Amino acid sequence: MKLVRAGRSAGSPEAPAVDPLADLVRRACAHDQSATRALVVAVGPAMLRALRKVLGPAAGDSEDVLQDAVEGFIRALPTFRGACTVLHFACRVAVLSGLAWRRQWSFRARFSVDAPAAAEDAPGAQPSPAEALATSRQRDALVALLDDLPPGQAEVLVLHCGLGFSVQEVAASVGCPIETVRSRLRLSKQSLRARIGANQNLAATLEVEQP
Amino acid sequence: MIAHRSDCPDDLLAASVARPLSELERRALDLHVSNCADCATACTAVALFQQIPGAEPGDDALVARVAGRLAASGGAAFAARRGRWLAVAAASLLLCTAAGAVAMGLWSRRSKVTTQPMLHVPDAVPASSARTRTPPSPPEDLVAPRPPAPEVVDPATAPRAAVKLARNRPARTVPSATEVPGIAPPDAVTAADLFRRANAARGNRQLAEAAELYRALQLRFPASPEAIVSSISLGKVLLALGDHEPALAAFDRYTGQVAPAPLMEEALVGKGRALRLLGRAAAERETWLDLLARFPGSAYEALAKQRLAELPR
Repeated sequence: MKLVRAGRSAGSPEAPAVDPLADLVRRACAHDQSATRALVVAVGPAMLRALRKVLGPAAGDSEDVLQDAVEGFIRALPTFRGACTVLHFACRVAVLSGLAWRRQWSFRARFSVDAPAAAEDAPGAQPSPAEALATSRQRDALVALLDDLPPGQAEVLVLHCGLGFSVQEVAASVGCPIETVRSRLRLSKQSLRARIGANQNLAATLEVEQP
Repeated sequence: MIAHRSDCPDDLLAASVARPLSELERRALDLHVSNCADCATACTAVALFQQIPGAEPGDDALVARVAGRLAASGGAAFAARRGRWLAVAAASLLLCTAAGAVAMGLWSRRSKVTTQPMLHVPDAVPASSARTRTPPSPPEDLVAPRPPAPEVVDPATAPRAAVKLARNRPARTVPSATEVPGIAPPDAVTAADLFRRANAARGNRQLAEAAELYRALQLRFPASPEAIVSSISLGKVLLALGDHEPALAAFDRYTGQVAPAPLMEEALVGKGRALRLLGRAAAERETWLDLLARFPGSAYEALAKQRLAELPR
């Protein structure tokens, strides 16, 4: 188990010696518009996925939030030192942006009415309406729990559990020592568990065993 | 079950997000989770996060729109930020001056009214009333994006770059007066309102309604930037509705305009797709060649080349 823990997650490659997006970043920092555009096109889908994990499945404002996140990413580029991949950096900005939006705009209320999610529109293997509703409630409950966590813990939790960043990748993206990330991760898990344990309805919604 | 163990396989949990675990890994994780309550909660979180769809149809177009707007605004984002800081500094200075003036006024009035010698410091404006009512902003670190406070850009006072940026962006989803029944007359609707409503309908997959709203926008505000950009959105919606010919016409409207067209690549891609669905191979080929010639290194280069390889010569 320790071997597994020490290893990095597959599917999210280690920062390569030469980041394929590094050149675009350099040119974008020099206000090269075509490079900026190409960079946004390259990282935009990943940022959008990260935003959806934070905002929930019915992120009706995703274009607005993405616009803000992308602007934040472009503004932050001069501070990027290559400690992680450009893609991981962009995802972290997207997560921070999504969390900021949630906190400032009472997203819980605004997203209470779900728009149909793409997966639910896909033909075949559709859950029953009752199953879909239950799943939707669970997802809403989870993303709402993020609002109650301290920002640093929520960020680490989304990057790790939502986007599949390894601890090492989270540490590189956030700019913290690995042990700090482990500590935040542990605290966020404990906070989640405590909040779920203190709320019978929530525990029932999430189908989590109460202690 | 214990609450937390020091050897939690965090990276195995994260790996389960990115790929299916092997039998051995799955068993190891299950074994740990059965003994660790925190990781059991984390597993639930992972499972729920995975149910949130990451990618959706139309994401590429959405990203392209954002990229196009950003490119069209040039370095406005950087300048806007600088301008915003200047504006905040100026506002703070004004606020302090105003608070000081009020405090001085109170002081002098009290001095005149009372005949007693002043024994204490007069009440100044309470600190709370001198504060501006801004939403709580998150702790910003170096990479934190701009807080999404609603921006009301006054062209008369805001820095030019900020105005430009605001104009290049679609309407934010800040409730406007026109949304409040009985307050604003129905004809007070703006191009930005229509564009936002159309985008919202499209986001909710009410495609027919979205198409109607885009058409209404183009009819009522034909010269507005929103109407011009909406040609592409309308084309995509019509493609999704199976109305290929009108979709092609919408893309053609955008590609045929004289004004600078920051979303020309997206328009050409839409046109190519419409022509493909209409079975017009020669015109489709020309469109992809046009795209490659106009935008070397385009993000759609691979798509264009693939279609060119598939199309009969």
